[in-house]
Amino acid sequence: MLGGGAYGPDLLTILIVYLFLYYGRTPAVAFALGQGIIVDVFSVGFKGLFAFLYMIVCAGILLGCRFFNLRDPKGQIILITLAVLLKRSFFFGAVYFFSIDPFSPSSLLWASVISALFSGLIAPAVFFIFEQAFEGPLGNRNGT
Amino acid sequence: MLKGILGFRKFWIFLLIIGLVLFLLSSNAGRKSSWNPFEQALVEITAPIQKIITRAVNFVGGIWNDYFYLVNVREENRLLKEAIDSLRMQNLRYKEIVAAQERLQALLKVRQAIELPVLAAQVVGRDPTGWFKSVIIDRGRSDGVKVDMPVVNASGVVGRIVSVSLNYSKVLLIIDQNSSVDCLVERSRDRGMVKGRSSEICKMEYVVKSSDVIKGDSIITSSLGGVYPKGLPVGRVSSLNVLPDKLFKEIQVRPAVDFSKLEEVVIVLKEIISTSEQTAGK
Repeated sequence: MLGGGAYGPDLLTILIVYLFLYYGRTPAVAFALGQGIIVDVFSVGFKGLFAFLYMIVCAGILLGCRFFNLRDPKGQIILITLAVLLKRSFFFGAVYFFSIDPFSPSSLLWASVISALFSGLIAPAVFFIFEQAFEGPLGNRNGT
Repeated sequence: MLKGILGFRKFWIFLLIIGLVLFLLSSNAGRKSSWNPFEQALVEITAPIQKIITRAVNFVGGIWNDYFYLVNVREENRLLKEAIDSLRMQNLRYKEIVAAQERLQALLKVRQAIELPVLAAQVVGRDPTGWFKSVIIDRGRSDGVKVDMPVVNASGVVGRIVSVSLNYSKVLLIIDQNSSVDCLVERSRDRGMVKGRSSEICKMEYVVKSSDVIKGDSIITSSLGGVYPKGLPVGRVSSLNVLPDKLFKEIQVRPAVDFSKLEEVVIVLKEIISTSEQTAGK
């Protein structure tokens, strides 16, 4: 979902966590909300669904920072995996409760688990690439 | 006086040499040109030296040809490769143009077949979620597009317009789980409702157990929903199940349209009449 299909990594969640880590809460939340609104506009899903989902992701990250060190790759892997799983759980919950005729095959649940693990595992590499690309005069690095 | 004698002597030596040369020349007449023993001896002495010099000259020439001169060949090779790449790109473009022309011709046939005004549109975006099924097309309110107008292509029914802006519209595809299309089995005229499952296969619901439906039957629109004109292809029955504890048959329909390759569509510019207005009209 949103990059790579059902099994692919959730790049937007990885990006939100990166912004959280290096630029702070406000830019990360603003980005998440903006992305969610844009996705809702272009999607035929429920209005506000993805804005809500990405706010859930932000809340999950805020809570997760208390238990995991975002600067440590292990912490990044765990936190992003959990954030993606949280997002997918809320998504399927919303689809199930608000659809007239909900349809959620078990294969999609497995796809969510694989996507979450995939996202978590590639996150340190993505962070490293972003650090190399954006280090230097790119100002505000007031993260967690 | 001495100078005179020496000069005279030189003259005679010169004459002697000329004479010898003329003698040699005259000795060629009427003979096969073959080396005489003196010439053979001369050749045997000088030929190896000539051989060494020739090899040395060839060696130097080879270095020139194989390395320095090849610079030009390398440059020529590079230019030829660039020309090939350019021609390859042109070829791909022409193939794309031919493919687009075939698609547009098929779309034109759809326009001609539907007895309503239609408008062609291009798909410019897809649903970003991957779960919901919709596309964005490049026609909007300024082109006369309205919500609930049906969208089709050369293969069959694509979906309906659900949102409109000035120049763009969002189309809910029939494979989306929020989509329902009132349909008929073309052969037996049995009614049902084709619903999307957010996957490649749709399901046809509310088909009574007594209906005559078999695998491979063509499913068409019934026009009873008020959205789609009658007779447009929706898909084909791909599987059929009759369960004893269910009221209706479980039918799966493979859509006629290949949604993974959706590029051009046609919007049917029909006025949407609500069900109540239809009933009142009758």
